[in-house]
Amino acid sequence: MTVGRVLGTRDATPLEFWVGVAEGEYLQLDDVVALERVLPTGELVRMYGTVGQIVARHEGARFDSDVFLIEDGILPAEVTEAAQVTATRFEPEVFVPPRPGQEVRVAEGEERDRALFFDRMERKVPVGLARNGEPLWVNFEFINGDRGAHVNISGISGVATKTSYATFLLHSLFTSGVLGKAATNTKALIFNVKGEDLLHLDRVNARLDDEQRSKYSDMRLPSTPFESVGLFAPPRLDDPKGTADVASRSDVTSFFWSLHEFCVDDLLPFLFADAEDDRAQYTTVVYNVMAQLRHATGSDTGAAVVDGVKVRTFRELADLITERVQSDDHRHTWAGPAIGTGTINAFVRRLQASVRHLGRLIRADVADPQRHRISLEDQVTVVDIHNLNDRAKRFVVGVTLKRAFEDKERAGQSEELLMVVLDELNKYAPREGSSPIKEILLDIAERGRSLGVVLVGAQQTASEVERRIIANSSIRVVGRLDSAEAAREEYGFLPGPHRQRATIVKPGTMILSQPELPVPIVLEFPFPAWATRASEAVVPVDYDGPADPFEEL
Amino acid sequence: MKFTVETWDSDYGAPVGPELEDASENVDVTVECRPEDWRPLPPEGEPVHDLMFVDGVRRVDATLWIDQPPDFPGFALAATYAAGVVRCNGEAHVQTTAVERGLFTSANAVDVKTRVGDYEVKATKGTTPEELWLGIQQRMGDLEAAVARRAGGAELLVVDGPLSHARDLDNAVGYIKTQKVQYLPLELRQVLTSLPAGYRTPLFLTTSSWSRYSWYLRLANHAGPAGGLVRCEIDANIERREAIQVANRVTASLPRYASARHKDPRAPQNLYPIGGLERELRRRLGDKDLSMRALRRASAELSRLSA
Repeated sequence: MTVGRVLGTRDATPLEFWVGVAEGEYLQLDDVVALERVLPTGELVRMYGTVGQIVARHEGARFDSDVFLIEDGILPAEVTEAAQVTATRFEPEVFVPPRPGQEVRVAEGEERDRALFFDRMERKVPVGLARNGEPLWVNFEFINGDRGAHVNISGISGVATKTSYATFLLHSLFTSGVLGKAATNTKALIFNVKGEDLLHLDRVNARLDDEQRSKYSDMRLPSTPFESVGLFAPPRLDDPKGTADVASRSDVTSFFWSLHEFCVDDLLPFLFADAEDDRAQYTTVVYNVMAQLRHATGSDTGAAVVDGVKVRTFRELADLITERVQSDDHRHTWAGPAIGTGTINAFVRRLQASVRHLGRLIRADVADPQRHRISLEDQVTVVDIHNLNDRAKRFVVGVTLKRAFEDKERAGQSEELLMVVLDELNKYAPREGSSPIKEILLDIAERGRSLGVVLVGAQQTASEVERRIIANSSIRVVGRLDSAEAAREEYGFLPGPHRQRATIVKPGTMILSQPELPVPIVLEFPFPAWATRASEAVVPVDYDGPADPFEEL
Repeated sequence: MKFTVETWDSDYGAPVGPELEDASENVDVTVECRPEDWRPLPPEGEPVHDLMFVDGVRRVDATLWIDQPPDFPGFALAATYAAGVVRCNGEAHVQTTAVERGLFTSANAVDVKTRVGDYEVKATKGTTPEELWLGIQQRMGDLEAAVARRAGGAELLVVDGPLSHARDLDNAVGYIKTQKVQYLPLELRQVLTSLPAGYRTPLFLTTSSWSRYSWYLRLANHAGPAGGLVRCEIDANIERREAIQVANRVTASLPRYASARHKDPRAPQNLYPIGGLERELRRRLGDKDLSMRALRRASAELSRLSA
């Protein structure tokens, strides 16, 4: 279907050209167009592109006020529309400009797939739908580590629906069949940072209607919730039984670490994981204490015997460490030689301050502590950290990631992926400074590709996240952006009009850039088929929890 | 000393000639009322809602010298001219246009084919520049009449300039922006100078090679002796009463289309639709340099062939 002709009043280049839209036709942003040019040699060059901008003007008007004369039927003028097309593909790769006057048509079906390189993707994952309802794809080789890995999502919270899109990507990966045999052992680890939103991934979304369901079938995906989900949440404060601190459902496993694990697995540095800690003198103390704790022995309940003293709670451990680094007898070995009192006091202050928040996460008072380990047995494991304070959040994320990464490193199996979904990346891998968590995230970003660990990171502002993490992400996704943020160089992959659009896109619309395509694609993704908050969850009939979930309160 | 600055851009001259040719002898001023009853007449009746404006533009692309040995070469003008119609019936749109090229000369010449188009020989009476220009003007007038005829009828057909070429068209009114002739006798000129904006003079009948009813209309108040004045004319082959009705319709309709001073160098006489049409027609004339180059190339090719 011819929609217009290449303009000769503006430069037509192999990379960008303008199309005059014919009377009675229209083009919209993101439309995919195709045209052909026959070279003097007789060779046929097919060109494809996407519409990045469209301009409508009054031709024949010279003054702004002419618009009123024209509308009043006094001054003759014509309305013209011209679309700016960014070339995506040339077949064969002879980069000649299109000739002014050449016919341009809207590319649909197979032709559209060629324009967007979908025909070349051997393994592809649906990532959303175009305006016209056709599915859009990402080359799986840029997710699984073959040619690239990692996904990064930016956007204002609330409007950008970053986590919804991250879970949609996971759903698409798990159910589209792209994983093949590796599907069974490909796992996802999600950190829940907002409300109890992600603790219902295994439940049908009551608000999902038929229209949304049909969008899933357009992508040949099932509109079902996640099948295999493991849910972990921190224990309630001051609860000796260690019940999970979750209000909206009762079948969540509480997670914590035993004192013995804390000592022998070198977890102490993760207590001191904010940027401020990195600059302080007491880092030396942290590592010296850590070396001392390594000698601890344990018991069945998880209690630890440190330096001959048995500790059953984190407070006892903190007090013991405090005593050791401050006493004249032990200071030399515990804090380190030639450490000033000021530095030791700073360390102690922080350690003691963390007791209140970490006491419920590092303990030895619950029987069978093995059951409360975060394990990645299910396909999707959700670790709830939303009601922890920042220091505790960093501790949980740091320790969990470190474990998962080390396990993956040991297994040495990169075909079966571990997808790590982490929002608020700017908190864990800030642009400035260094911390143990940032080191792990950088390790994942840089080495994860070969180990099959894929980071699906999200943040409000990419400009506040470590550059190397963003740089290592092959797939970059942008939802609604703040206009000042959109102007930053981190979004250099977005051409001008896309940047502008990023400030106005509505929830459910994302702009995605992938290495094979020279222009980002604008996509819509369907409403989640899984509940994204308690109120949306359809609770199964064979619900076997307590009749009143608030019974224990 | 007091003086007034003419509204028109000096490139276009003035809407009134400095010395008007007196033609009041051949004028009958009693068509609508007795001379002693002459006074400005206010607009009467509703403006019409379907008007067409006809205009043309012309351009000399090159001056040619036509070989005619042993005589001195003949003088010729290669010109491109266009005519078009704007219809204003709620919206204004260019309805029909036509572009022609001509080789205006009295010398013995043949059509010149070029890359931009063919310049057909259009014979003129004489060989002076004035006669050649007149030839172009006439052909353009013919083309205007042709496009107006093709455009179909309207309640009012406003032809830019004298009506001479389009007398036979229905509802045609000649619209004269520049006054070179004084038609009114001295005692009635006071009515002309005192016309308020939107008013017209009573009709008068003039006869030259053909007879026409004519009247003056002030479109808007502008500085200068002819500030906002235009003359309209219609063929006198209709009833007097009918002619008065036409004059009333035109008077009620045209001031709406008068242009603003900052938008047109010939404001307010050059009406908006005509200004827009002229721009569109000039665009359709094509690029002058390209035409010039095409003629040079054609000349070079002909020389090579004959050599």
